[in-house]
Amino acid sequence: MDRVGLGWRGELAASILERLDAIDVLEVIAEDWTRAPAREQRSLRALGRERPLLLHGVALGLASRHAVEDKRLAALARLFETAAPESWSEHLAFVRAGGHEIGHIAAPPRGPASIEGALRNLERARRIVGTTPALENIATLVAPPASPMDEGAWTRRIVEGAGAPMLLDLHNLYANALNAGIEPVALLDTMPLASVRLVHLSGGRWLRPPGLAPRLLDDHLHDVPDPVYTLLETLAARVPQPLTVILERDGEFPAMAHLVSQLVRAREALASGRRLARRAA
Amino acid sequence: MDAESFLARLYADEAFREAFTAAPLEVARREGLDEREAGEFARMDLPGLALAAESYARKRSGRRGPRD
Repeated sequence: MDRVGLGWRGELAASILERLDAIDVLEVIAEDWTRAPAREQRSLRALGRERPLLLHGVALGLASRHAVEDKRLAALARLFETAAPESWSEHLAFVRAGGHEIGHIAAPPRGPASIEGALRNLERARRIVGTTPALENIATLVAPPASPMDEGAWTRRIVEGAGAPMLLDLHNLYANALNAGIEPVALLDTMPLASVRLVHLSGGRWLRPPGLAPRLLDDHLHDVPDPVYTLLETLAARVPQPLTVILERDGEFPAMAHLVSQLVRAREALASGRRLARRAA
Repeated sequence: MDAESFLARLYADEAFREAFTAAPLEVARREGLDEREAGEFARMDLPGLALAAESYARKRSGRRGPRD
């Protein structure tokens, strides 16, 4: 059965607890909790009794030729054991390399070195945490140089090579497609759709640098744009497996009723896609 | 330096990025990228690099935590 949920943010906590009727599942940012005392980490287990919890990592840097630090994986494993989430996810990204900390997820050069490194890191993550994370495609404002592979082929090699589920971020995909001048559905069809179990929805804003082509920045501060709901409908029509859709909002929070209206639109898009698939069958 | 570390430094080190933007091929060669990789970095989307680096710098400064 498809599910629709929301990213847990401290600013939204009270509102989320008041509107659990509209929320099937909650996603928690792992790094917000890995350094918290065990007592606070255990509160996540209580939250998980209200709605299934998904743990979302943002700082491991799994898609790298360099090894993820043991201490990061160990901290995540401790949180996983304490909070008992349903599953966890991380990005197909690097965050640091050669002693340089980027401070955010970034797209590495897409080639054999980052594929092999990602598969090694994922095997270590599976061994230490206990399960393989769902892997998320990221948004990038610049195509990584020294990339002999396109995003879809590179993503497929890692997701399928690791036997991992995929977390398909449809706004990231939408932004990358528009910024590269590609049709979003064409980019969608290059992804390992049979592996998709989770979906992220979010919004962004256009950057309009003087004299340059505009670019769409995925900032999680704006509403989900209409074409992203259309992509969700297309995805639901393309794949038979149940999807868990999470709305991400990191700031400039609107009223909870407004966020709930976006969850309703996500449910409608899923239902519409499923109807299209039934008609086509 | 490998291509991934080179890219990380471009994002994280403003002075290095400025030097690269002024002479991309020369800097890429000097840092030890092979000729193919150096050529690809020399052809990279410099406005996109500047926008991405600015976005990452804002995140490092703590205005927003890492999210995606």
